[in-house]
Amino acid sequence: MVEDKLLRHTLADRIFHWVMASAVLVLLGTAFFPILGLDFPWVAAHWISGLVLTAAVLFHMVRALFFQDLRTMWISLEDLRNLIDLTRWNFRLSSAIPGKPGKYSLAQKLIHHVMTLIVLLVVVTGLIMLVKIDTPWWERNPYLFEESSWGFIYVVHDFTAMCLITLVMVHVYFSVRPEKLFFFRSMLLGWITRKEYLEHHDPQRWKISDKV
Amino acid sequence: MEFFRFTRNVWGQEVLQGMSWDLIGIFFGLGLACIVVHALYRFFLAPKLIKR
Repeated sequence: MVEDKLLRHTLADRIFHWVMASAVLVLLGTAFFPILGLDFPWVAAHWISGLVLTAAVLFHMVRALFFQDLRTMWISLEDLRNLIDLTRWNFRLSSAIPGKPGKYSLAQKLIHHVMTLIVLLVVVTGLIMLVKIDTPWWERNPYLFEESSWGFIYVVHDFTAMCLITLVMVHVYFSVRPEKLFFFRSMLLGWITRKEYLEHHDPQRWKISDKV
Repeated sequence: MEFFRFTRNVWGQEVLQGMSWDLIGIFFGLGLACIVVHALYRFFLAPKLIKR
């Protein structure tokens, strides 16, 4: 029997995700490989992929704010109740199976929000740092801020960039775990099966109607 | 282990240059620790859902 395929991620969202993922990986590689001893001309690749990441983030912000339902990402009381139930179930304090999430689980919402904060900080500080390098559009101006202000900007940029190492590792790990592979497939192909939908989501909290 | 990098400007004053790169290993290790702890917990300790 051919199973129903239900739409989880539209093509626009999938393209955004993979453009952002590629940009972040290029940024991490061009940032940290030279520090770790693999020397190559990294500056141009770094700032160009930084601009790609900026464009992707702006696209997603407009799309999320005006064309999508923000409530799918809000942390609700139901999420917190499920977290308590899940904790009790994990510690074997209760045998009741915890409730299912809507479109996104609490863990997915949390990593999204942490990633949002980190990426916004790294993008904003990176854009400010662009004034210190020559590009086709302007000549470098290292005197825009005082030395101490530049130091603060570097600290925020370096710290958030290193946080991205941890976040990307954890994100990739959870996306390739056997029980989460259908999320990974849905980010590639867009769909989940009706069986996966009913098994992993609460249909009351995520009403899905679009078939692929 | 240092947390910050410093340099000296043309007047010999010490100025902040960013986070110490020694911390790269810490952030990588933190990611690895999360993965290993979760994988071990799921494999050995987490209650299993029995599918009917």
